[in-house]
Amino acid sequence: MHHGQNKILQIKNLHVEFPLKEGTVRALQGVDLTFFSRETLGLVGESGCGKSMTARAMLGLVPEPGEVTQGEILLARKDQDPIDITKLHPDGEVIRNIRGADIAMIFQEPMTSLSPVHTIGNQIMEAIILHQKTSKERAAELAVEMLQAVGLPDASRQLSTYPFELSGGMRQRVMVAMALSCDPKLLIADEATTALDVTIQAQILNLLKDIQEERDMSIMVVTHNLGVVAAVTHRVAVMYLGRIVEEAPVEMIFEQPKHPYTQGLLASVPKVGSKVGGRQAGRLQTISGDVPDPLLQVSGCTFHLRCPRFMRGICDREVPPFIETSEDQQVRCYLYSEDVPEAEKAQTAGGEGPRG
Amino acid sequence: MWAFVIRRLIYMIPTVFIISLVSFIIIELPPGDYMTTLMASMAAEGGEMGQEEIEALRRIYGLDQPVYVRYINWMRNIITRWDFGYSFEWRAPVWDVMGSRLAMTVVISLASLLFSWVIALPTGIYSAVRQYSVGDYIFTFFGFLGLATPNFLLALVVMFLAHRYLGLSVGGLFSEQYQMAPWSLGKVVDLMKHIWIPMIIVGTASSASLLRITRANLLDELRKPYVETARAKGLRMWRVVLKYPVRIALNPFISSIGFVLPQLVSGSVIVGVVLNLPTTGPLLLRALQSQDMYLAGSFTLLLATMTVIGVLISDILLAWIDPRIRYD
Amino acid sequence: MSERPWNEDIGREREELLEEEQQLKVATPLQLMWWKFTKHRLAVAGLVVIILFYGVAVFADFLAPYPPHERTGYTFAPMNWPRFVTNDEGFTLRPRVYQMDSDIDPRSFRRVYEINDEISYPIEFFVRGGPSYKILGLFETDLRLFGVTHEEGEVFFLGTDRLGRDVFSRVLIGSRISLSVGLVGVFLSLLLGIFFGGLSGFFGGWVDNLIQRLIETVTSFPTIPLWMALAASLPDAWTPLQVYFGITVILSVVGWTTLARVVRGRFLSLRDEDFVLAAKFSGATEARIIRKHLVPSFTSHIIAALTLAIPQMIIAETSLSFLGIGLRPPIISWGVLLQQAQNVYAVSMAPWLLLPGLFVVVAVLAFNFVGDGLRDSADPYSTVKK
Repeated sequence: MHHGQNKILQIKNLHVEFPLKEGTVRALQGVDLTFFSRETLGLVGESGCGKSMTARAMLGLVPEPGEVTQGEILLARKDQDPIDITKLHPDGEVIRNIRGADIAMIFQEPMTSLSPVHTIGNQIMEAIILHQKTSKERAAELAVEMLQAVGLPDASRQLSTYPFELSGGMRQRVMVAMALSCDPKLLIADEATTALDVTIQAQILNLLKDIQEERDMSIMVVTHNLGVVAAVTHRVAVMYLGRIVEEAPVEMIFEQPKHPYTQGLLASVPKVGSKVGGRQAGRLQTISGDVPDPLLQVSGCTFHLRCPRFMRGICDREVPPFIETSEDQQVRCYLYSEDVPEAEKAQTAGGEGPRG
Repeated sequence: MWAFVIRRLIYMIPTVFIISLVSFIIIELPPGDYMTTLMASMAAEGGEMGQEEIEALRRIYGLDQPVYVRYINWMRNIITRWDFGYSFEWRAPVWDVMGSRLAMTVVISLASLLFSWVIALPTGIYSAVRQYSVGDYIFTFFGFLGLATPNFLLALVVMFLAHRYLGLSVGGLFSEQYQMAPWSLGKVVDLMKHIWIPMIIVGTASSASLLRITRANLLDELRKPYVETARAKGLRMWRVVLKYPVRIALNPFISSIGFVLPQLVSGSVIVGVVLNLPTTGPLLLRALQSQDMYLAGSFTLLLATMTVIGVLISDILLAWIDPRIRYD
Repeated sequence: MSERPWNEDIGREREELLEEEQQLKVATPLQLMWWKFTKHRLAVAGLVVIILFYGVAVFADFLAPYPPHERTGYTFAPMNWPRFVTNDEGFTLRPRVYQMDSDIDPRSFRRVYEINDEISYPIEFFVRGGPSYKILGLFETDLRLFGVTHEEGEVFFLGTDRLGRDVFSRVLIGSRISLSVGLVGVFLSLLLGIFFGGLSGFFGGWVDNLIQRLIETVTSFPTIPLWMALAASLPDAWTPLQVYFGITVILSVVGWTTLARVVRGRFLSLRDEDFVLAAKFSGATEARIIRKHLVPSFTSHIIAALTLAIPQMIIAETSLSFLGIGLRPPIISWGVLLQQAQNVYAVSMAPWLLLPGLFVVVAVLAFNFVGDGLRDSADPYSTVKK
């Protein structure tokens, strides 16, 4: 059951490639995601798995020399057919009107994501003036309102301050205000809280939650922090090497993860009461091996090089399809395929040592 | 902001003090003094001077005093009376000899600075935004070439080409009829007609280094996350580039005036010699060769002080343009 | 969809990758730098040119067709290159030069030369003659790589000067001075730079402040006038060797500041890096920290800065000598050669007198390319792909 009803944006079979001198890096190898209003989707995975690339592609900001080679990103519009973002010119008027206005983004580092030599006011008002075609005075009023909404004290005075005069948490609030200033339908928070203290993380996350309820927004939280996922998301997509490997409501991901990678991720998080480092609990579990070199083209399931339940001749041949294990939970793993004989699955059930 | 300006002004004091010391050392460096040179040339002409006469002259010019007294006198006269000493060769106060030439040096240096900005800024931005494009390679090639060619060599080549293919003599800053004429509109126009050649020659090397600085800084800035933030707001790429990274890359650009200015003054001196311009160059060379040391020392003193003031101005500009510095 | 390798292939590639990573981990900073350096094509080309130039400088006496001070009797003669196809002999494997006929121009009363393409003379290899010299300062000989033994035949790659001396031979001999001034000057600058920069960076505080002011002052001096003033004060009575060292000292007295800045900058950034802190906590003395940790890790940066300083020295020497207050004849340097091109009449009559400048430009370009390549490679945080 999805939290909201209206489909806002849909990514279908998205491929992004980087042709480099040393070879082609396949950053995204078929990503499928759907965003609904009033719903927060968590996109989880290790660094380099393509989370941020997915976010950038949604804004038409795939960095050079990367390019979308397949798939589409359909943005729903009022009274019109959906528009495919991947088909738009990256600096054209259409995509520029979508950026900031329909889809807004909060970036990872509040330190460097704001221009150091322009005032906060200047940077917030810029987007307002651009998308709402208002006067400078009106834009300033709106900017103050936004800063108040994100809980920045003394908002009207802050317009003339420079980013380096604010703390990290304050700056991230400014980023949130900036992203919200044009009332976007979809907000992407790309590791938006990673660089912040835990207490400030919580404040920003709560802020996002409140704003979503007020505004019927859809939010995508890109993170590698499962704590953040548990705190704010409704639905979770787990990503590994350019593909979504599992997607399910947040409770199901935590209570009955299906994909071996998801299971590994969860097992590597310390839990309260498990006595980390103590005798009983032993060491934290890790996923064996490293993320392979991005230039390697891994056949079949990209996780098979590290998978504890690798089935030779099956997992390394074809990319596993999405398999619905229950209503609302789907996973790309042959362990849940009815076509694979149970005997094969059982062989690996012991979960023996590393591979690859 | 004012606190910053005052602090920078105070910093300048020791710098100018050291400059004055070095300039004075230059005056004192050659063995003997101008009297020795004078005696030698008198002797060559057959008219010998009596020992007493020489001593009298020495006393008049204070050459018999100890070194530190001479330094203090020199500085005191400069500060209180704008008197830089006496040019023995020109038989006139140093300032009268060099004043107008200094002004021309300033004019040429500033014109060259302007020229290098006009060249370096657009090409630098283009090279960075279109990195590895044909244009970038062309600009980079000329940048390297400009850096590797000594000023005087470029001046020689330009002079040769102009002489050989255009039948022009490119030396000097004025046409003959204006050379001795007082300042008038016609003379200014005439100057404009002549100044562009030394301007380009002197400015080429600094254009090249500024181009490379702009390109490198801008490339750094373009990779910063705030560029992506701005684009995610829906701004046009070129507007983003011009508003944000260029603005920040301008800082080092402006601070580089600090080292470009001495370069330009240096360049205008040597190019002045080659093209025989009415600037400090030929006069300084001549003063050094004939050991007219007060003239030579005063040139070094003023040229260096001028660059220090230039650097000061660039620092103040920088603080004005970059809020982080003035709050530092 | 492109073909995808099977697992076995991937396994092998991973082994190779791991091995490469292992190599990178045990490599010294200088080895790392070299690997990265070889990736810069321009820089490698520059290095080749530099090696070539210094090679030529070492064997200049042997390679030059004429002794540098020999007056051939042909004044302001244009270039006369050897060729394989001549009108009188047709194609020959041995290159030949045409005879040069001279005449007095009836209007300008200048001697003009014309290449007589009816008569040519062979270039001989390993000819003897002229004053003897010492190869590598060891073996005395009068052997030259090539020359024309016939009375009437002359080979002038770059023409001749006012006294009829072969410019090409003089450029070769001059490269010794011009290229070594850079090295010696930079070495002296390095000593000064390491001393002041090291003090500044390691002690910080008021020492740093004082030295920074000093550096600021020196850099705010327009170098040419200062060099001119200092060079002009060298006594006339000095021997060529003394003048040579005097000039290099003067160049480095002004040129050390950049190096001092680099040294200081490295010191400051390294001082705060974790491994130095770690060394401090484990009880290492300051001298030991400097020797064992700081010096090795910034050698690469120093080498890059040095390489970039050399061309500036070369330009400075050339400029000073050109003005007539640096090195003076009978010393031969590229700047001294260019001095003859000082006025427009000489240049318009004998444009080849400008050609020594080409060697300056090429040498400076080569050093700049190498320096840039080294600077990129010296950055420990840029990635290595072997």
